[in-house]
Amino acid sequence: MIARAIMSAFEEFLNDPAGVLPDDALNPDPQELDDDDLTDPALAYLHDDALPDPDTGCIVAVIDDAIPFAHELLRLSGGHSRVASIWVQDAAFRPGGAGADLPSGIELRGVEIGTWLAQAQAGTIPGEDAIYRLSGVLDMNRDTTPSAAYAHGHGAAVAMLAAGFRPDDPQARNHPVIAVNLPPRITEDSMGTLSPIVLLASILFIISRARRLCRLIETRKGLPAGSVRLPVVVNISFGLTAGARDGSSLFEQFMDAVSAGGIAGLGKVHFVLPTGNHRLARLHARMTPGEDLGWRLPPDDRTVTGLEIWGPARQGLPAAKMQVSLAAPGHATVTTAFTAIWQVSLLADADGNELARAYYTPRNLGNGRWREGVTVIIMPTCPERLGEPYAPSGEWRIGVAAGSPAGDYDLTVQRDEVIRGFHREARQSWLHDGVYQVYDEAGRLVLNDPQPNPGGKVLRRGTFNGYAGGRHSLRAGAVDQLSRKPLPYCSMLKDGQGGDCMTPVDRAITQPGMTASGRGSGSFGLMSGTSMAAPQLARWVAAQMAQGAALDDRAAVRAHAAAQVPTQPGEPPIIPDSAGFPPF
Amino acid sequence: MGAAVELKYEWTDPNQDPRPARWTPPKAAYATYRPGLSPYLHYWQALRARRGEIEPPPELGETAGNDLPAQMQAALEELISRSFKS
Repeated sequence: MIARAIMSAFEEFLNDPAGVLPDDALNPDPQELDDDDLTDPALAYLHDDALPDPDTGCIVAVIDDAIPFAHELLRLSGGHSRVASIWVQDAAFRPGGAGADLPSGIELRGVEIGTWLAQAQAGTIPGEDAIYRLSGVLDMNRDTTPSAAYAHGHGAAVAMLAAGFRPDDPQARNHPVIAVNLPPRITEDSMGTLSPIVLLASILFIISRARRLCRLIETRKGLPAGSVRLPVVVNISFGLTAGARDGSSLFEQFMDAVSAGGIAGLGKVHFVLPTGNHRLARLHARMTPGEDLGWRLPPDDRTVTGLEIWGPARQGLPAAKMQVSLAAPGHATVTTAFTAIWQVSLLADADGNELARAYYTPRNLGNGRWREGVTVIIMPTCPERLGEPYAPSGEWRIGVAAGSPAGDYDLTVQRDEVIRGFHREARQSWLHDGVYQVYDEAGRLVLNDPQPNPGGKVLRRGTFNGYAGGRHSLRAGAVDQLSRKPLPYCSMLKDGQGGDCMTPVDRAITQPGMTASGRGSGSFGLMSGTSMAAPQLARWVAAQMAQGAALDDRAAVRAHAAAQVPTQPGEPPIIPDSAGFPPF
Repeated sequence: MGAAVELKYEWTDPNQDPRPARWTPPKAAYATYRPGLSPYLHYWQALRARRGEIEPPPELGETAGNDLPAQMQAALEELISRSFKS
């Protein structure tokens, strides 16, 4: 059943793989998973000597880019891999290999990885790099970004922070790893156009393999079927800056259902996400009907620029829909005329050239409650190809049209950045509010919204990750290691806090970055951002659950952390340094 | 040597009246749910259709998307049922 669910979630790619997946990545004939993974030693998730304790194990799952599964911090001292399974979604499909139930790419399991590790140890293959090339995870001749070759990429740092242990660490064996390498074309798109599809399929894969790992433990240890139910902590160090942020997206609802509902044959599942890095990016504002705001678009942006407006939750969908007013630089202000759900309208200039488009996308929140939403997409300010539509750069005006249903409307600009290591000519737009002050009179960054804030529309509060609005996901914020105060970039939740829990990231306010593992064993680099906070929180939650802590929900996690470290009332706890990851 | 390209700059008088613009009459973007459905995906598919990489989406009427929220909820429930209730 779950294979069909993964296939269903991946349908968009299967119908049109050329957009994201190389043609040779597709599985031409996916099959349901059979029991070979429990009976064939070569297909086992872990070697018998690497199986976790059925009572104190906790699976750590990581969804990221280019996770170095052969790294020494993911091995045990006997040389066995702790990586039970990794799905490399865009690798060339391998007929006859593990993962016949997956729609694309390859699956590598612990025993197979262990075989390569043994060969590297014996010197019959030349080290870790050869493992990535022999397995098909890295092929410089394929038409994709070879991020698996990067010396210190995002996935390497995140995976080791979440799940890296020295091979002789007694905790290591109790933290098997399930990983997903996302296609680089997903990672490079900071707007997350297709991310929900692959993230959903990745979660389904993790659930599937976590359950099968539990069944393998039962089989190998002669335990009753269904008796092993390891908990799982899933780290997703990805995020968006636009969204309803109320948990109403399908992706957020699915994560909430997984965390709250309980999964047959598996323990508690927690999702950990970064709070976000955009507190001071001026990507969030609030206004009422009849108001508008400047929206500055830089030139030479070869990607579209997105902005979402979400109205207040209300009973029923108003008959008179919310409308948006938009003015391109040098152009008249014009107002949409939506009349029905999921409509699209194009903004054209006098010559009929498309400048922008808008979509009316209200959401049903359940119990008769609705939230209206409009997404505005402005064409690139520099077309990617000649003849394609483009829009003028400069200051646009965006507003909620007078006559729209009353209430406060949230504006959120979509992330539109160049991700380190990926070639994409993106440029971030921002909202311009004359009242907003970047610096105070002493030249210091203004880190909080003024109270009171008369006339202020652009806000720092509520700038958190657009994937993290659900009721159950854990949001990790970043403090600096020296002052233990939230870093200026750390986004804010609706209540103004930097996260449900905080972790140390940058070394100091004047020294950006923390030491984190690179791709090769023993290598390291400097990494920054709440992407590095999330895996530290994931690691800590996994350790607590392995020790028997009953962390049923967000409040329990927070209270458990606050009980271990001195925490100011009302402030999020800072995860203790005893998380103690090896930096490289 | 390639053909010479003449670079032109069109000066805009800041005091002139703003140029006209208009919204096209709204029409439905989707009629049926599909995984990952979003405005961004719709634009991306439209761009790919413009480039001739995929078939253009069918023209839809004004109210063809009215059932999408219900379809999305049903898809979520089916996904939950398929993936971890068994």
